[in-house]
Amino acid sequence: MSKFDTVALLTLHNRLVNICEEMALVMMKTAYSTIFSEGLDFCCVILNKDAEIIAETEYTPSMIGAITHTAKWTIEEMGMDNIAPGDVIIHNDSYRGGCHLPEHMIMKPVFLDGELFGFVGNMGHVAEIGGKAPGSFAADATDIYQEGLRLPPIKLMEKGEYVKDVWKMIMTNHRTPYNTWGDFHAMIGSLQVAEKRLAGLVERYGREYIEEGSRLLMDYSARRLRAEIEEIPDGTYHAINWLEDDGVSAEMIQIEVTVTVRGDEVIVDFTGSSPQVKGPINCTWVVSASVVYIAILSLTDPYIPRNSGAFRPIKIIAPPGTVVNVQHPGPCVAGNTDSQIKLIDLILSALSQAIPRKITAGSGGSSSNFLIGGVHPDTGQYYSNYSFDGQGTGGTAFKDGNDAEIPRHGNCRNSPIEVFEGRYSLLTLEYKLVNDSGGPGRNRGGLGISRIYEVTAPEVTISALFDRFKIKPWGLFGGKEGTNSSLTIKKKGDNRWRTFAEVYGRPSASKFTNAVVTKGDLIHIVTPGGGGFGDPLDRNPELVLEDVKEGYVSLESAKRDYGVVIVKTNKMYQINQEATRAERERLRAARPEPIPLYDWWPKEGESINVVREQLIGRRSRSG
Amino acid sequence: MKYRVGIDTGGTFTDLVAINRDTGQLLVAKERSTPERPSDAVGKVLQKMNKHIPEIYFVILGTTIATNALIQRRGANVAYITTKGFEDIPFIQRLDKEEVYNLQWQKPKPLIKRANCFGVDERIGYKGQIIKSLDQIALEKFKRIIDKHFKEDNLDSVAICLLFSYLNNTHEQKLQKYLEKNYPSLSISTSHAVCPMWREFERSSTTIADAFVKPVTIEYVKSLKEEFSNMKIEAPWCVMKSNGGSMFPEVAAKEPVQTLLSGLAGGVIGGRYFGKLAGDKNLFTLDMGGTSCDVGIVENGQQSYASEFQLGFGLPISVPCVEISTIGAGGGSIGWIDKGGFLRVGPFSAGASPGPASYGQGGNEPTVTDANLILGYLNPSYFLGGSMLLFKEKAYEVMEPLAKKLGVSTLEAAEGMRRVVNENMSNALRLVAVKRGIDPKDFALVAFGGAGPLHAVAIAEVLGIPRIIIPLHPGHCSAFGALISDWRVDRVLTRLYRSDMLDVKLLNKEFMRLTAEAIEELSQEGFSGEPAVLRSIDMRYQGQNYEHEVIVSNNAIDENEIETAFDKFAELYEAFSGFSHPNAVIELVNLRVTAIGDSDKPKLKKVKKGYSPEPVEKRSVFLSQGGYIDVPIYRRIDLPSNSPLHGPAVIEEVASTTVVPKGYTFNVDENGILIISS
Repeated sequence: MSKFDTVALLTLHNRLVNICEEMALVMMKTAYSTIFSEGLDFCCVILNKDAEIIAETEYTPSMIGAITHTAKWTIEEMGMDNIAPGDVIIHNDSYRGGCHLPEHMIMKPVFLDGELFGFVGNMGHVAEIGGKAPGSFAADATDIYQEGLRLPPIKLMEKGEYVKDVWKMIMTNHRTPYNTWGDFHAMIGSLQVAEKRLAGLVERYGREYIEEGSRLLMDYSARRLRAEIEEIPDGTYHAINWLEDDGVSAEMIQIEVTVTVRGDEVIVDFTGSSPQVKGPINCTWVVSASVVYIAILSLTDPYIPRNSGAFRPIKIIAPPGTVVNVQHPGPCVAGNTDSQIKLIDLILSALSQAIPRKITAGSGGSSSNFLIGGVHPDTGQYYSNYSFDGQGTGGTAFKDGNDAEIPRHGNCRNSPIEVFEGRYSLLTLEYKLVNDSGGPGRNRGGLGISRIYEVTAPEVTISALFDRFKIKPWGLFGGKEGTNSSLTIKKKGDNRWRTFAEVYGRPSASKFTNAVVTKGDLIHIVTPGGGGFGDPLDRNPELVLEDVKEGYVSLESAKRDYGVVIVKTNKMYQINQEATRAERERLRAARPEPIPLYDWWPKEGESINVVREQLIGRRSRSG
Repeated sequence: MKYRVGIDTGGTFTDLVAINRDTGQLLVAKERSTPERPSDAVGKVLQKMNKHIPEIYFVILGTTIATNALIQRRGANVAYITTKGFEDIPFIQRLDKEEVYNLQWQKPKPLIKRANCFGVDERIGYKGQIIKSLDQIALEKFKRIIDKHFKEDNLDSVAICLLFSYLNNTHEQKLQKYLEKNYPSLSISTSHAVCPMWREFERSSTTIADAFVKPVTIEYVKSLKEEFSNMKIEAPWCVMKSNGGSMFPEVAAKEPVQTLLSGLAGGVIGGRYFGKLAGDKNLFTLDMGGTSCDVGIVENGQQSYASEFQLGFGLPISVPCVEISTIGAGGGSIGWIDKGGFLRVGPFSAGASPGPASYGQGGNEPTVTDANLILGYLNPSYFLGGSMLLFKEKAYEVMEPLAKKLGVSTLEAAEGMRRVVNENMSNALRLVAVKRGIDPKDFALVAFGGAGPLHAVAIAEVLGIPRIIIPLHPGHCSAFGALISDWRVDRVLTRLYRSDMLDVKLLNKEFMRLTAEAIEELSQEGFSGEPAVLRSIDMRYQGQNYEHEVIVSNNAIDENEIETAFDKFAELYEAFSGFSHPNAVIELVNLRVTAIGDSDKPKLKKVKKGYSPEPVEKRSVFLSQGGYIDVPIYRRIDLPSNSPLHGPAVIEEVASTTVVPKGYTFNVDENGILIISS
């Protein structure tokens, strides 16, 4: 370790991450679709010669576990002999190491003095790629050909020149080619910038220094992760949950995980999960791999440098032909958005007995994917839009769940109403938190969202993929469940809210495509609340009082779920201490079994000891 | 009447710089800040001008009053009034997380109570059209709710933010009028006045922040008035704005959100001034104090601006401000070892109290100041000009355990801490450069703040910056920036014009209106004279969400002018992304007008030249190239102009210390600015 003391190593790490951040900035600022520019649904990486990640940005975790595999398969299929300086390769095929089809990986080899140094790459969700439904989110697709255009590893540019035939072919098959064209350029532009910066870094430090340094960084991350895994008690941990249906039939679909911790290694085995299904909730192998990486990274020190080294102590088993490893021609668009987050939560749930202080109760568990397409009355132009919403997250041993948060596997932002309405023909009538939706607990679950749209154009085509209509996000250690989500429509002239299944005669109320809604119709989206953590009867009554004052919890729920009797006297809320003691006693006595007292609860004043690099006064991403 | 005075109220110290406009003589003073009543320290530091007090003709104050109120969440009890159905926007925010892999991350709460959010039955659409009018029934209902709550709760401030009010403000004005009439003691902030820009969450957050800090700011202005009147200072005075301009205190009290970054802006303005005087137009400014380090950039003689900043995640403030990045790196930053054995420095700080261990006030963790003392850079008996003693043995005491854990010598640990903190600061600088696509090598570094000059050369070396500029009185640079600040008003109008359907006449009309408004506001803020006007349009390709700011001339806008602007946009875009899209439709999103009124710039006293200075002593200092060596120590005040000397050397002055390593030359120019080059 002569030239690499820890300071030098950290320095190199920061330099490499700087380059990834610059890549991300170029992508965000030059993208044409909101899913990149506002949603930030992409990741940027630097890979070494062997397609191992040496640095990344953490915009969308769902892809970082995937991209190293996607890149490896790409190189394997193309052959290094066929990759030259100035080439730009694109790849989205779900069966060749890709995620769901919208996730496009674009990579560029970096040659220095004629010799391959590595690759720069990014992966991003391209908003519209053809297929049976606008927005390429066919919630009732029965094979991949309905989901959009498949691209095996092919070149968008060859030795610096556009491969025009390929561009023409792609542009012809996407519904909004203008956006695709802009987004591809945003991706390629960011790679060009990264290539230049990497060359500068090599010029300054020398190639060997960076190669050795990044090797040591990967070793370091592996070592750190191993040490963290060692802290988890050895054992085999198991959990089962269900996806409600696949949009094609009404059957429940089992997902199952067995986590084996042995010393400094962890094996995550999805054996027992249902065979792959007809509808698009299947996951590709790399999507399942991402699940595991995200779960493990969330349970270990979040400041371990993220690179392929951190993945070494992790083994994944996902049997082919199941919902966690789909084979041709199974559809998989929702594997990325919905199954993935439930699988992450499932791993947390399996480990809840082993490391209760580190995990959360069940979070919302659905991205509430909502797609619209149509012709804008103002411009006469075709549009399509993919949006999603936040959900309540589960409580933890240390804190309440968060309200209205994007699911675990992404970090996308919502579209501001003032941006959205200028582009699309839906008027938002309401956007608020759902009171009482957080699962009661010593630490309460976070609240879900309610949104109502009014259709303002003659016609808008709607597709949706929701889940958690039936199964609620779970509570833990005595905490109760969060609430369900829902999606309903009130046709103009109708006096009732009905499901889309009822109005449009679809097999699934939560997953469907191409329902045509018309002017004056109202659409109501409700997202799930998070599960509670710990016995609600142990929640500090003062916190319940505060929740009641602030409207998070109703007076009724305070009494029913928390045993806290609050009275409103003189227009002031007050706890009736006597009645509260009695009510809590009564509720405890009525339980079939007591909830055990655990010794791992944080002590009074014990805080969550996480340190972060503070960056105050910075310009925000929406700048 | 000879003295123009700049005062900067920081977290630890309140600084004063005064300049005699006849002689160019500078007076500087420092006082401990008095957070409970910040005007006390202002009064005390002014007292230090003694007999010159009656000679003051103008005072400008930079302040962190509003900033601290926000960060510590000690502000008004605010009622939030918005369009019915959208009361939770400040709570929902943008759904994103600050820390992706941290399951214990707590989403920040806004500055208001949810129970104090009230919806009004009205709705404006995306073209500014009224979808649901704020009619008598809605207004009556609103009145009933407000009357009930204002009687029951202690609400003292109101933020009004209705959807699309940046396009049509009639409803906000209607509500404002009702409240003004019936609740004259309330302070009211409306979003169309505070920040007429789209994106409802960001606009509401800004309006709420304004309402939150308004009563504190009003109180501050009031107590300053008393302070001035007690001291019989009759000179007019101004408060600095986040955009580097200044405004009369009455205006500041009306729009306090404009002052949120005023203290930081002063540093950049001061840095720009000294950089320009030293002949540099392209600069990084680095202001390193006790707890944080603020980095700014000046390109072609102009500081760069941002239209938004975040005071912590989830608290965006959309007002024009000098663009600054802040990281937790200062003299008080604490060194620690992470779980993986990496040495880290900051963001925790020992702050002003207890301060670094070597202050001897009970600090028991190793800080950057302690490291600098161990390495010999700081003089224990000349800290703050000798008014405060440093205890070297205390620094060793706290550094040793850290060294043991790292398995290195105490000296190596101190040196490691310096490298890490320097690396953190160079990273912040690099990101600023990266954002703008510039090469740091083409820039000079202006370093100030108490600790800036101690680290400047090392940081410049990492980034390949060849020229380092240390201003006069670097420990007072922010106050100096306040002293020389101009008047400045930024106006912005969000529109969504398309290049293929552009009504050039309408565009021209909007610009004329905006310009007239900006000039009018400038005169209200205190400027009389002929202002300079800058105009620009934020453009993007249709479908994109981020804009590039394109400067347009002050001529009437016609087809030719706009074509030139489109060409400029394509150029800017290509430089940033590697592509331009000649046939794509361009969207014109924001029209911006800035009106600037120049203040009279001081002439500095010339420094004598000629003789060769003597070091006051030689001290053993640790240099990374050669271990401890005896290095000459100079007093800055002794250095004549135009007599270049070679490093290694340490240059001491009352509120700062500059380290010049081997291989660098340093020279004081005729204005007294210290210039170091490789």
